[in-house]
Amino acid sequence: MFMSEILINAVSQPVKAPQPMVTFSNVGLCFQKHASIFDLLFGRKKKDREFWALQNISFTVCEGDTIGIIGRNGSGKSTLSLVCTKIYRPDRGKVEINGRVQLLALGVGFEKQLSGRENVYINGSLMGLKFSEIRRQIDDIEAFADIGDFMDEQMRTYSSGMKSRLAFAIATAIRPEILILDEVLATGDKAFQDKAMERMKNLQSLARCALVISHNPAQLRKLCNKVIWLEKGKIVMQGDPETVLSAYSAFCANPKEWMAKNNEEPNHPKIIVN
Amino acid sequence: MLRATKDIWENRHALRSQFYVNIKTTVATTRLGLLWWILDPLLLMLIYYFVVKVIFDRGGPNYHLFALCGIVTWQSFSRSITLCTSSLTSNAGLIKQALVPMVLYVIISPLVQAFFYLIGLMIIMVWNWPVLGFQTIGVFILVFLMVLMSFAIGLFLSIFEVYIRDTGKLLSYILRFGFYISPILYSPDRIYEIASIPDYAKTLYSLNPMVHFITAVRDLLFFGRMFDYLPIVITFGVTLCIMQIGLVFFRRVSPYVPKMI
Repeated sequence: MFMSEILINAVSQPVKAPQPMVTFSNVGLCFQKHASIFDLLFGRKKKDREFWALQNISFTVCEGDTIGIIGRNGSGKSTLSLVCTKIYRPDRGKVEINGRVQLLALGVGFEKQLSGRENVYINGSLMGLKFSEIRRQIDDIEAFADIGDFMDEQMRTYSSGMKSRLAFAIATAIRPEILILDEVLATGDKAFQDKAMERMKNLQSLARCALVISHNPAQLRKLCNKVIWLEKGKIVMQGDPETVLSAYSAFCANPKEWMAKNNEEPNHPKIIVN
Repeated sequence: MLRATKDIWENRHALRSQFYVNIKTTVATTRLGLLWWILDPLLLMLIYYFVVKVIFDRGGPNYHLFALCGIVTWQSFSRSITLCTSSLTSNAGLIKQALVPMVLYVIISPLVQAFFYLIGLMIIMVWNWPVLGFQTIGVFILVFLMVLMSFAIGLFLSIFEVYIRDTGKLLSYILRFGFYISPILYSPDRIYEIASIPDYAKTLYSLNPMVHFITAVRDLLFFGRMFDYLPIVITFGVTLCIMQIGLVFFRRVSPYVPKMI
């Protein structure tokens, strides 16, 4: 039934360009060190206190895309993900987002004193679900997290792997249109990582999109159809995973030398591979 | 104000779960749990009863209940203000992950405290049951006013706390001071009677909303009569004005808050 529908669609609408879900154009974001409340109210800005965490970021995420984001610590990966969720307002440029975004970072939003089951409700409601919707999904979440009797134990007894299992199960169960994973897959065991991969592939096939932040090139290679490499808040390279990731590995082997060879700060996207 | 109401209504499920979390965690962390919320005002009452009645030999008949009305009200007010102040900084993790409007984190503490306030008032009602009557329903108006008052002040303080972390520290001293300039251990008539206090100071004193608030609570639960409408209506009006200004201020500044916490 489902297959035939797709076939019919394919015949009647031959080629449909994928809809852009997230569009960044020349986005910059700066942190004010020691900003005072009066500066804010009167719109004053002090140049010497600024720290630009992101500069000239431009990219597009389309339906069905899974984009990997890689970079050294402090290169702006997590900041970028917070701009995607509209929690950080960009100071320069424009961000367009079409769809419900869900950010998933480790160990955030769980209440240690309460049980896992209660936390599913709390977390779900913070993600904008109704209690009735959560009640409908809770079995599914429990099955996917697969942490057994710990579901009714207090959260403080959980290992970090268990926490990420539960967090991932909740975030993907609500089927957000745009899912952002901030190093969540790193802590799970092999079995869970495989299961998570499979679910991510499912999300891809449902024409939802995802941004995956990871330090694991093998994972990104398997999951993503495009990788963005950030360094010092700027995009060094974006495009085909194989190319970007091997360039990144070469860079990581000796960052200083690489910088010297390229003889400049990563100012603008020098290489775009498509 | 309309927009804030809409925001809160749309996220009522998140509000409900946060309400649950707050109540459950305050109860879960201690051995005696919910009992603490009953014990706390009673123990304070005992201390002040000892100081005022036994040592200084002052206070009228039924002074323990008289003081309890003030103590319960003040505790609720000062707790909600204190918790409101830290509401944004202590929820930093959630603010950076969930897409819930930030105003929700500010209103949650007054709501939770209102719940405990009702428990406290219930103790007084049970204790002083002969004065209960139709006018006792007025308690709900007062609890509602309490939520609005602490929310209105909390809107400013929570933002100040993000930018100036000393706010919370300073606040604890201001609240200590407020405890004595509010008629918690004494009746406001005492202040008006003292001839050595100049008139302008008395006028200033009557501008303290807690003076009228605590008087109203006592009218209802201690004397068993309806409170004066005028001071409460004026307090309502002023609170709504401050709240509106607070909401505009909050909406203007809150987009910058996630970067600062």
